[in-house]
Amino acid sequence: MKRTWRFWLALWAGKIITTGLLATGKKGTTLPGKISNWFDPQIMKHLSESYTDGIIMVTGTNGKTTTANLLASILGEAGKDFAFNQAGANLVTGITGALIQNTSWRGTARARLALLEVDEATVPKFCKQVTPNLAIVTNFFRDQLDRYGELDTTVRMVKESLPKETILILNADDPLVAQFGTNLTKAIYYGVERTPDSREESQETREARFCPSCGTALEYSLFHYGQLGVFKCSGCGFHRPEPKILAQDIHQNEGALLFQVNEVTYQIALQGYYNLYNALAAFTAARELGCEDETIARGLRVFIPQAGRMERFYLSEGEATLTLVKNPTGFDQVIQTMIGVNKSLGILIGINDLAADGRDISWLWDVNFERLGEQDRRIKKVVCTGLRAEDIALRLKYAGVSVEKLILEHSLEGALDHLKKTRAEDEAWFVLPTYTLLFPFRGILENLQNSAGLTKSEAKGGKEARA
Amino acid sequence: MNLKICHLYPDLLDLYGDRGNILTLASRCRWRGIEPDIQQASLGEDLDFMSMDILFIGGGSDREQGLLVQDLMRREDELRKAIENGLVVLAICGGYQMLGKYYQMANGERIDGLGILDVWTIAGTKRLIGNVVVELNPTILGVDSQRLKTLVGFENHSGKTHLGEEVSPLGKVIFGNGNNGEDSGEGVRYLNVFGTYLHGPLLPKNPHLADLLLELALKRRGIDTLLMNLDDRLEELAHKVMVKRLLKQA
Repeated sequence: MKRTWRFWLALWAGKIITTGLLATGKKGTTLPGKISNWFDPQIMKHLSESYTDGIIMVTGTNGKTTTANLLASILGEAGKDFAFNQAGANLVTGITGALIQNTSWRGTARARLALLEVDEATVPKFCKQVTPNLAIVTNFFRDQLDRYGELDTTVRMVKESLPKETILILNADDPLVAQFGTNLTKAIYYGVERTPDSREESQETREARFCPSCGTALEYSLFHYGQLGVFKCSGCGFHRPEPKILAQDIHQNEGALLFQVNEVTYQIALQGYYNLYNALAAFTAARELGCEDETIARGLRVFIPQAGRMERFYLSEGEATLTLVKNPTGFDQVIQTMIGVNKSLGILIGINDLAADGRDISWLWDVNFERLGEQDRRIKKVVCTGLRAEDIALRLKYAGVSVEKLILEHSLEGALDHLKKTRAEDEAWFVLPTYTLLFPFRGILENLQNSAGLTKSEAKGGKEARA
Repeated sequence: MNLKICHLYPDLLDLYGDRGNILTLASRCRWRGIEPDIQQASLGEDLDFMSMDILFIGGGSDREQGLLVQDLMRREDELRKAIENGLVVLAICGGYQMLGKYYQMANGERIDGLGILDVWTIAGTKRLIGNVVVELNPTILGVDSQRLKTLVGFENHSGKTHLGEEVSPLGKVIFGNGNNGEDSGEGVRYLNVFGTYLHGPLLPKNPHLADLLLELALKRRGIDTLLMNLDDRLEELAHKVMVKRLLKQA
């Protein structure tokens, strides 16, 4: 496609702003992306065409960032160069900004491959301009309904906008995702045999109770979490597809997940079985890109969890785990993980309702906090903060957490002070913010960690993760 | 003593944390020594509306709503009789629309509702999304004036609902859109039926409405005592913080 004066104007304006932002020490993707799109609304298309080895897209409700980062770690081990929208900047502006950073002033791409996380609602706009070689679809859960209307609409939008030429890498265990591959030859599935948490009956929020193609109630022989499991439809025969990459012999120990694929054991430094799916998605894509199993194993092993996904901080009073919460299924998984540590719990929950958090907080009532209420004896305190501190406190009251353990504190520093004030001998601390509170909390925790004088590797006993 | 609370089609109509409303009714019964008997009714299941105390109908996605209008149509007569008898109903969003006369789609086609409420809904072009504060109409609620005088919640609907002359809204919208974004009315009360667009969920932060439903249900059973007061400091705080914040924005 011929590049017009609009393209050059857009590119150079974007590059000038990026350089300026980087020079002043700021992350520069959104603003340059915005300006460039203003000059040339087709800029993503023009930029993406320079990536000769193609574009890999990662989308879905949960696990996009972790999946993209795991794949990046594997590609790094494989010695591949690629463009990457690392900061979770997954809307049109952020994606454009990341591509501009990886494009020279002369308009050539600095890498042959681009790995792009794309927000579900942005997929239609993105795919109108860009045809990905590979598209990973992780899962679909209820998330920020006020932004997307209803889940059905989101799923349909993504499905209809994926180009025919794109090879789909799909979660076999999620019926909403698996249906994308019906009648497609270019679909590759990954899935899980069974985790220690898999059950014959489900108590959780489930999105897909009915067959996405014919509307008959789906029958499950096993639930892994949410609507993920081994399902079939008695109406039209739709069933969980046979995964090409199947994880077996799954277990968790010392903050790591272990699993086997084709009788080879793999390990990642992440907690929660939902992260296994992210590893499998990255695994499947890496295979498709020609990576050797050994490279994949190394890429997964050296991966260091990114900002706010079960990230550990070592404070002078003890260790705290920070993790983002943004929808019922994700929160349910965090609760499961907290209960699984078998310690008494000091919890801080921060709920904001700004646009990036989702303005509607009714999803808090779909989270199974009752499971936490059942563990009330183990809970030492729950500090509630954020613009919706009172709402989360109220939710916990109705879930059976004793009211005298609930602490309302609107200042973030104050909230952390309450958490740290007392610590039982075996107390584990969890800090659970929504999106707009994540980075503020992360900043405070990093400062506290620095003033405690411990770096992560020292606190782990000198074990260097990137061995 | 027990109260029978039926959550209609929770497997179909469960958008927006609807189960919070049931959890709230159940807890507020239990804290007063009343045993809540919760029935989660699925499509096609036997339902005896007359023997229920409180019926809750929530909102669902369009496809799922279509499925169950058909199912409810078969039971329209029994439901109508129970409502005339004083059955307490809380119907939110889709549930509210379904109890009305019809839903008129963008192409002009009308889907029949149950016609129990004198309201009708016309598809709008824009979704009405956001927080809502309603100043309650005191005669509609008939509750003691000591408590909260507003309702607070969140709306997300594209249908615009209009009220017939026989029925009145729950109150006046002072923040947000309400029934149709035009006449500043929100919700409806007819006998002991409460229809509204407020999810959020509605009852946890509006304990005065939750208690009104319980009181009306007990009254229908012939028990005319005042409900025991509960410690609602947290509920009222959550309510007031939100009202204050929204009205400051406005």
